Amino acid sequence: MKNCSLLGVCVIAALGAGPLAAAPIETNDPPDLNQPQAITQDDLLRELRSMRERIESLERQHAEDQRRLRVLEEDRKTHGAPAKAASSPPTIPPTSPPTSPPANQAASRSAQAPRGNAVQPARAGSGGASSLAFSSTAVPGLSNALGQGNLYNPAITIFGDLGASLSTNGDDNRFNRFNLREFEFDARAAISPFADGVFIATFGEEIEDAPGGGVDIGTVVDVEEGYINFHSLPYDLTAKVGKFRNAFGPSNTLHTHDTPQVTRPLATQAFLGPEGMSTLGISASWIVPNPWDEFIELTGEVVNADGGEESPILGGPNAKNPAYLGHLKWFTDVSDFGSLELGGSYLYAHTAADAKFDANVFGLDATLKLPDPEAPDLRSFLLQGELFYSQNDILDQVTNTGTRNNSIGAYAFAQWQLSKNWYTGVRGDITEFPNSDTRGPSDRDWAVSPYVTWYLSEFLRLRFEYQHREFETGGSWDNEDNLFIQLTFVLGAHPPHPYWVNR
Amino acid sequence: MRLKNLITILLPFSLSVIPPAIAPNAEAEVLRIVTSTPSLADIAKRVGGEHVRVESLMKGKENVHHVPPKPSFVMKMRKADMFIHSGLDAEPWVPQLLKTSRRRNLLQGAPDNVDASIGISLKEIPDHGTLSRANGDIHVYGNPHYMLDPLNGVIVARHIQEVLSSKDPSHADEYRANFGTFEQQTAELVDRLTKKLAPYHGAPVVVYHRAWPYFLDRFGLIEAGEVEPKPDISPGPQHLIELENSMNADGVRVIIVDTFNPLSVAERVADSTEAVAVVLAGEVHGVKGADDYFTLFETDVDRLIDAFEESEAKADPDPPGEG
Repeated sequence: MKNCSLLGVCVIAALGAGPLAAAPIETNDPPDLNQPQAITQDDLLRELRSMRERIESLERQHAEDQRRLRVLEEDRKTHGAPAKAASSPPTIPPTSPPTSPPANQAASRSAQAPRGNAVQPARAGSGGASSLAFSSTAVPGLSNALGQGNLYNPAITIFGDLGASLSTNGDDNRFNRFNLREFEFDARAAISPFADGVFIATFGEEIEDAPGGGVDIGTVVDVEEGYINFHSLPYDLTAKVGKFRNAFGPSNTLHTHDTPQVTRPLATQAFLGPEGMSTLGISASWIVPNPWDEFIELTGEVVNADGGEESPILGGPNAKNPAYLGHLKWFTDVSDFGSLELGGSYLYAHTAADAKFDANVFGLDATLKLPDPEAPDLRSFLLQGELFYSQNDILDQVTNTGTRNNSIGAYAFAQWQLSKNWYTGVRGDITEFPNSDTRGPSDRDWAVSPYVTWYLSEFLRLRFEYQHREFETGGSWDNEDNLFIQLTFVLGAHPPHPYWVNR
Repeated sequence: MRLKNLITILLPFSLSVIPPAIAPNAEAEVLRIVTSTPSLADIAKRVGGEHVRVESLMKGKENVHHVPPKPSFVMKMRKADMFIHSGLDAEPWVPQLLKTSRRRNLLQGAPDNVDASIGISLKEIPDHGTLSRANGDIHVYGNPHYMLDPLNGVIVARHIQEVLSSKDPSHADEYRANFGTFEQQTAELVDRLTKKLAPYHGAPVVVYHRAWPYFLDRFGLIEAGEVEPKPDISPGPQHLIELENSMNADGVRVIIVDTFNPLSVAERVADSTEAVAVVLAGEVHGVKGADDYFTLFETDVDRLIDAFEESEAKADPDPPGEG
C-alpha cells in the first residue's frame, strides 16, 4: 500500500499538478497596499465562494485521477504494460489559465511534492511491485529516487556532546582536560504500520586507569540502543525487542546529552553503571485501566544479565540469565500545565553463573513540574528525586562465596527556568556503592552541584556545572571541587525527548 | 524471589486478558474529538454541534512547536474517535504521542487522523535545495500558522464537515448547515474587522517571531522586520540596534509579540523607537478575551488598534489643541 500511495501521489503530481499549480492562488494574495480599498462582505463571500469552487474542482480532479489510476492499474495487470491512458492528456481542463507564481510564494498544498504521511494517502489499486514499476515508467525523473528507495530512509539525528573540566583534584587525569563525551548517531523510521525501528550508536572517549598509574584514553563505539518498537499491539500493549535503556526510573532512560546536568547522578552511576543500564531483551508496557482515568503504566522487562564490565549489579557475560525488571508509573496533571509523576522500580538479577548469587534493586522516583500558568514557555520549576536501595551478593572468585551487601543512594534536584533560554538548578547527591572495584561497601559519597544552562537555540546548548564532592575511601574522607563545561549540539532531524526535559 | 520475579513479569500479560475498563466512545451518539490546538477545537465544536464532544490538548498560551507531550495527553487520545491536528511540521510532539497512545485508528494516515492543513495555500515555502539551520528553525513545508487567517479557518471547517459527514452520515445535513453558518459568520467577522483596521491599512509592523504572515496579509498590514534575527534564534544586541534603526526609518508603530516570547525584549526595542509592543494571541485562550475562534481575532484586532493609538500618543504626547 505504501507503493500504491506513493504511486498515487506521483501520478497525480505528473498528470494533475500542472493544471493544479496553474490554478490562481487567490486566498492569500496580499491586498494592493498602495491603494487602500474597502473590502466588503460581498467581496469576502465572493472569495469564499471562489475557494469553495476551487476545493470542489480539486476534489473532482482527484476523483478523476483516481479513476484513471484504477484503469491504468487494471490495464497494467491485464496487458503487462502501461495503457494508452498513461500518455493521454488530462481530461479535466485547468480551472483557470496558467499564471505565474505569486510573489509571496504561496502555493496550493495540493500541488506540493509528496512529503510522507502528511499527504493524504491516495487509495488507488492494489499497489505492490507493479505499481512501483509503473510509476517509474510513467514519471520520468522520479525513477532514480524511487529505485534507490532514499525516500524511505530513516530520520537521522547526530548529537554532539563535548565537555571540559577544571578540578582541584590535579592528580586525577580524568579532569583538567577537554572531553569528547559522546557523539550519538540516532536513526529511526517506521518499519510497518504497527512497528518502528530505532538505532542509536555512540562514539566517545573512555578514560580508564592505566596499569602503571595515570590514565589510558581510548575510543569506544557502542550500540546504545537498537530495537524494534511494536506500538500498536492488542490489549493496549507496546513492546520493544532489542537493546534499549531500561525503564528503571527517569534518570536511567536519558541519553548522555539529554541529562539535565552535565554529570549523571552519583547514585544512578553507583547502582546502574556510569552510563546507566542498557541491555538486550524484551520490554512490554501496558496502560493500566483504572476508575480514576489516570495514566498508570506498568512496564515489564526480561533482559540479559550481562551488563558489560561497567554494571555494578548485573553479573557479566557468564552470569545466569535472564534478569527481570518492573516499573510502575503514575502520572497526573496538578494544574493546566503542571504535572506530578510517581514511580517505583524493581530489578532482579543473578550476579554470577551460580544461581544462588543474586541481587534485588528497588527504586522510587518523583517528578514535579510546575510551569508558570501565565507563561509556560518562559518560566517553570522542576523538582525531581530518586531513591535506590539494593541487596546484592558480591562474589569472591577465590573462595566462590558471596557477601551480601545492602546499599542505599539518592539524588534530588530543583531547576528553575528563568527565561525562554536560561535555566538554573542545584542537585544534591548521596550514595553508597553496591559493588565497586575501588570503593568499599560502607564507603559513601555526597555532592552538591549547582548548574546553569543556556540554550542558544533549539539545537545548541551550553551548560556549566560546579560540583563539590566529599568522598570516603576505606573510612577516610577527602573532597574535590570541579567545574564542568558542556557544549551540546544537534545535527539533522528534530529529536524526540521526554516530556519533562524542556528541550 | 523467583515467584516475585514471575509476578512482576507476568502481571501485565495476565491482566491484559481483561478488557479495558475505559472503552472508547462510551456515549454512543457523541463523537469524541481531540484536537491539538484550541482553535481547531472551537471549529470542530461549531461544525459538530451537539453531536461531538471536543477537547484540545494545548491550552492556548504555549508555543505550538514546543508543547510537552505529557502522559495525560495519552489518556485523552485513548478515548478519542477522531484526532484533528495542524499537520505539516507545526507540532513535532504529535507523532510520538500518537504512537504512545496505542490507538491505531488515530495514527498518521489512518481515517480518524485529520490533518487540518490539507487544502491550505501555504506561505513562505522554502527552497528545499537550500534548507539549512543557518537560516534558523525553518518550517520545511511552509509557514504553519495558517489558522491566523480566518478564511483558512473556513477551509479547515469545510474539511472537518466532510470528515464528520463521512463518519456520521445520519447528521450530515446538520454538519453542512453548521458549516454554512460558520462560513457566513466568518465572512461577517472579517468584513467587520477589516473595516475596523481600515485606518491602519498598509501600516508596517514588526513581529517577534515569523508567525503572523497570514494574519497580516488578511488584514492589510505589512511586516517590516522581526525581533528574532532568524526564526527561533534569540536576538543579539547588534540585530536589535539594526532593527531599531530600520523601524525608525520605516515609521513602524507596533511590535507584535507572541504569548510564548519575552515581551521585555520587544519593550526594550519599543523604548528606543516610537513603536509599542503588544502581545497578540496566536491561539484561542492565548490572551484574556480570546475565548473562541472569532473572539481570538476580535481581541487581537482590538489590541492592535489600542497599540496603534498608544503609539500615536507616544509620538505626539501633546497634540495641538490640548496643550
